[in-house]
Amino acid sequence: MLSPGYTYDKAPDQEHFLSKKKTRELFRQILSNRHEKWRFNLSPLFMEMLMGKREYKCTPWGMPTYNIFGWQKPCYLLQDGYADTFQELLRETDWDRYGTESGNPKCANCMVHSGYEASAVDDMFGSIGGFLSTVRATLFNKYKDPDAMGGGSNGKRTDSGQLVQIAVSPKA
Amino acid sequence: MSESNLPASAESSEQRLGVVHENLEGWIPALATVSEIHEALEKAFDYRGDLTITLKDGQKIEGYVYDRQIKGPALSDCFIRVMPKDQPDKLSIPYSDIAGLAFTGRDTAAGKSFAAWVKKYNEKKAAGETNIGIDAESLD
Repeated sequence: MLSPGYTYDKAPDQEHFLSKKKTRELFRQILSNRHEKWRFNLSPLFMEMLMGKREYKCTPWGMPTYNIFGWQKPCYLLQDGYADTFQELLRETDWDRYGTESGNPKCANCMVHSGYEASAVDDMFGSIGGFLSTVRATLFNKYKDPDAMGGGSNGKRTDSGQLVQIAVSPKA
Repeated sequence: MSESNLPASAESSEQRLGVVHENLEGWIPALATVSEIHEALEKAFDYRGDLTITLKDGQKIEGYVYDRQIKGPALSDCFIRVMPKDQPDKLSIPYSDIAGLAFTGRDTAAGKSFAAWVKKYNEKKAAGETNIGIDAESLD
């Protein structure tokens, strides 16, 4: 399973979050030109969204979280309080305040499965177009893309693909 | 829900990454006005450590503020919800009952950036340590 990270504001490290643009670039690299044996435990349309091929609105109630504090508002990434019951979570959360389209800065860079895979699945089962797109994405899932690695039409990459590199001390 | 090129407006608002946390450890906010109370308790809710709350009846409660609820304009309509440090039951405290607030607990995430970890890694490596991993720190 793959999913982008979230700009979690209580995380210790606030300097390495990816913007949506960079997230799309990264997932285009990961999910294009797939090996035939690769299997991703994600819905096809969510993967297309991660690659920048389609757009969804967030469904923050799609994967609710319950923990020792209660039902987390509004989703398991953004902690904006807790409800004691699931009914209270659904009834009292102002859902219009969340999701990329809401303008909430805490949602601005989120592409996480908890909100968007639910939207993709809803699209898949909720419309003929979504279902046909899923069939197409399932049957033609190689996503050949010679430019995916950022190297232009010759397919050669021009940037460093290494996401994390521990500085190596020069040998004495 | 469409297959499309993304609109420019969607791209332009997406570069706001991360937040800068204030160093609140040890802070004792003034709670003289309604706006000061709201501001301090919002920061208490965002804080990544325990606080000590002094109630108007003199009782002191130490714990983690995991929620705040604003249900009306009056302070008695607003609540913080606290997981006390030494009690099993969660508490709901009206803003109007709070006399004092102190950020007494350690900010559990402060100083744990990736850069700090790399620095620690390099120090351990320079000291000859091998098989260096990312280990969780012990809980308080």
